[in-house]
Formats: sequence, structure tokens, C-alpha cells
Amino acid sequence: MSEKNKREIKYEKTYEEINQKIISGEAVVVTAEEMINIVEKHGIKYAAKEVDVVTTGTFGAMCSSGAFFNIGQPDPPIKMERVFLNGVEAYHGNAAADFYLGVTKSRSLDNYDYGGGHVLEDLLKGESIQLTAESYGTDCYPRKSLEVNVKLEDFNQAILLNPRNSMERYVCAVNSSDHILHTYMGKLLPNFQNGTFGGVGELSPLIHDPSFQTIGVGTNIFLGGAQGLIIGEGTQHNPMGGYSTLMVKGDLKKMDPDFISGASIKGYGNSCFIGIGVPIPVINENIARSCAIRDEEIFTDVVDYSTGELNRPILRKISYAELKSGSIDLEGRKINVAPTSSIYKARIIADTLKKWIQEGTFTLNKPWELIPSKTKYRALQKEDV
Amino acid sequence: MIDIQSIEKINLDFSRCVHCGLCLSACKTEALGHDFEKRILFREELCIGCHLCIEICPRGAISSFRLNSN
Repeated sequence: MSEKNKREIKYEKTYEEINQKIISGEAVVVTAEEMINIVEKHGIKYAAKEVDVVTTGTFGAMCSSGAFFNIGQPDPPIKMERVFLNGVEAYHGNAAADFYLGVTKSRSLDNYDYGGGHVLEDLLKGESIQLTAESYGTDCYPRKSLEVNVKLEDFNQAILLNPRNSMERYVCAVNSSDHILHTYMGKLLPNFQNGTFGGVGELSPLIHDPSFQTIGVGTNIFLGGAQGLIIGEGTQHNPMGGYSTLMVKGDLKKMDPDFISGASIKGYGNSCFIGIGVPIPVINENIARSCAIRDEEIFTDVVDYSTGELNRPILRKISYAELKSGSIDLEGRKINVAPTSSIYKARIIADTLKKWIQEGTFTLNKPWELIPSKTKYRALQKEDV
Repeated sequence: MIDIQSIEKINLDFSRCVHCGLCLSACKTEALGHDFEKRILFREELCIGCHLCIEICPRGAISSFRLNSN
């Protein structure tokens, strides 16, 4: 950092200073929405000096999610080759009794009434689920089948491990064709009769630290109703394109079904609503400024999903303020739009995280390594062979 | 004229609803909306029983029932 820039950043705080204030009950903690009001009323310098932590939240269907499980060995033991939880197949390619259940895996190919996300939700609700496993049997693992009913507490570990969560923003999907489209963005009616958009705008975690000055490996977060950790950049992390993502983990046993909720999306498949909140320490004025970003300043694309091509037509840029108004202007037409994420739940998450920090039960981890801010997503550039 | 007694109205199970908004994208009569806290708001008097919201709800929170004159 140049000497000039150092002089420009007047109010700087360390993680140690902020944590000391949290422990002593003196920290000023506000949600991202509250931060906007503070900056509008008192300015950036005041906010940088007075506010210690800004809390954020998002709640939406996050398909790249799932959980690693370990179940204790029965006698005789089994080297699981195929594993099912309530009929939903888990991935097994690890040690004998380890498996990963992905939230998009469906129980049936015919409908999407029940999938991996529903299994996680049922476990969190305390329900008993059926675990079945098949094997070929070995000298060291002779058992060839297993069928038991288990609850969450019966697993040695149940670790939520999500490769891509909390996308910085998402597009607004519309449909110019003359037929209905069933997509992961919901049902898109023909001839631009509706639209749906992802993300929660000014509450969204990564919007507030787009250059990753504070968010990194080891940052502790709200994840599914409990404390979780950021363990790195998410898959398809694309900060240069404005679509950053996070990889996160947490102890499923401590989570809450209000924030881990299975989803069935007609014509697409299964998924899971996941709740995430990231605390942003206000370490300098730059962070104070980015923590006060408003929906009017956050833009995404309106994208026509009528083509099956990878690069769908972008029809216009649009602010989250216009999206959240419930209708958008598209080529002179008014189109009703609705969120796929829950702004209501995102607020609850930001408020809950704020409460945890104010109560002193949640102090901030200094990241071991910051998330990369200069990478870009690449589409596959290979031809079919 | 629509026979109001023959319409299958909808029922919203708020214990399953996550307050996203996908149902709003299907509703043509503004029977479904958001309140000022961004919670899903259902105005039964505006519902025409088209049921588009039922199939679009990712949480299975919306079901139908038939109005009975009795």
C-alpha cells in the first residue's frame, strides 16, 4: 500500500481490537441494511470509526451443497459400495463407512418430491431415516448388506460441506419463447410474462467485500443456524465477473431445519435452501464504504433463458432496487418479477448473527488466507471428440 | 360467471414456507404477495384457484381444497 493511500485511510481497526470490544460488550454491530442508514446520515468516516462489524445474510436454493457422513461400523463390518438415505443415493468413493449426500440427488427419476436436501432437513427435525447399503464383501469387510433406521445423533460425523454457496449476485431470468420453461429459476412463462431473480442485493454477504479484504479461509460465519467456517473459494468463483462464491463447512448436528430446507423445483430437480451470514469487520474506510452499498448500486443481468445455449442473451443491466420493486421494464413492457431467494430469511440471518456478536458468543476469526479476488470463470473450450 | 363454489382454493402452510417468492412469479391476480417485512402474504379474496402457485412452490407449502357451499 502506498504512503498516500495509507494516509487516506484514517480509521483502521485490527481483528484483535474488534474482538476485544466484542468480548467486553462494547462492539457496535449493525446489519448491512442498518449500515446504509448510518452512512447516509453520518458519512463514511463516522461509520468506519464507530461501527465494528456489519452482518449480512442470504437464504436461497444452493445446489452445490451436501454433507459428509460417517456411520459406525456394524458387526460384521461393511465396505459400503452403494449407500442410500431414505432412498436417496449418496456418493461413496471414500473409506468403508464414509459417504457424501448431495442435496440435488433425487429419490426418483420420475419426480422430484424428495431429494438429498429433504434428507438433511428430516435429520435436523429429529426424524429417523432409513440407511441402506450394499457391498460385494471382502475378507476385512465381510458384510454385504445393511438396512438400519438412524437419527442424526447416530452418525459419528455429519459435516455440511458445500462446494459453492453464497453467490455474490445472480441473474434475472425471463423467457422470450412461446412456451413455458421449467428451470432452476422456477417456471418462466412465455413471451416475457414473468421473471425470477436470485440473490438478496444489499444484504448479500459477498457484495460487501468484493475485493476480499476481510473474507478468507477460516472466517467464521452463520451457516444453517449454527457457526460454520469458510474453507476457501467456491467452485466457479468468478470475482472478476461479479459472481464470487464460497466453499463452506459446518457441523450439521448443530444446525436448524429453518435454515437447511429441502426444495423440489418442478421440471428441474431437487435442491436445498441454505442460510448463510458473513460478518464483515469494518477494518477501514474502504470496507465501511462497501458495507453501505445499496440495492440501487448493485447490478445484474436480465437474461433470456429461451435458448438452450451456454451464452444466453443478456437483455439489459438491472439494479436490485428495480428487481425488488416487483416489476421491471423490458423493451417498454412491464414484467412482474419475483425473488427465488428469501429476503425475509436473509434479514433474520443478519439479525441473528448481529445478536450472537453482541452477546459475545461469536468473535471474529482472522482469515488464514484471503479468498482470491482476481480469478475468472472459464467455459469449456474443448470440442467433442 | 364463475361458480365460486366450484373453485378449488389454495391453502398456504406457513410451517413449510421459506418466504422466497417463486409463487409470486406464477400468481396473476396478486393474491400472493410480500408484506412489508418480505414475508409471503396470501389474500384469499383475490385467489381465482388457477393453482399455478401449487406446482411452482419448491417447498410443497401450497395445497388446494374445494370450497363447499355447506
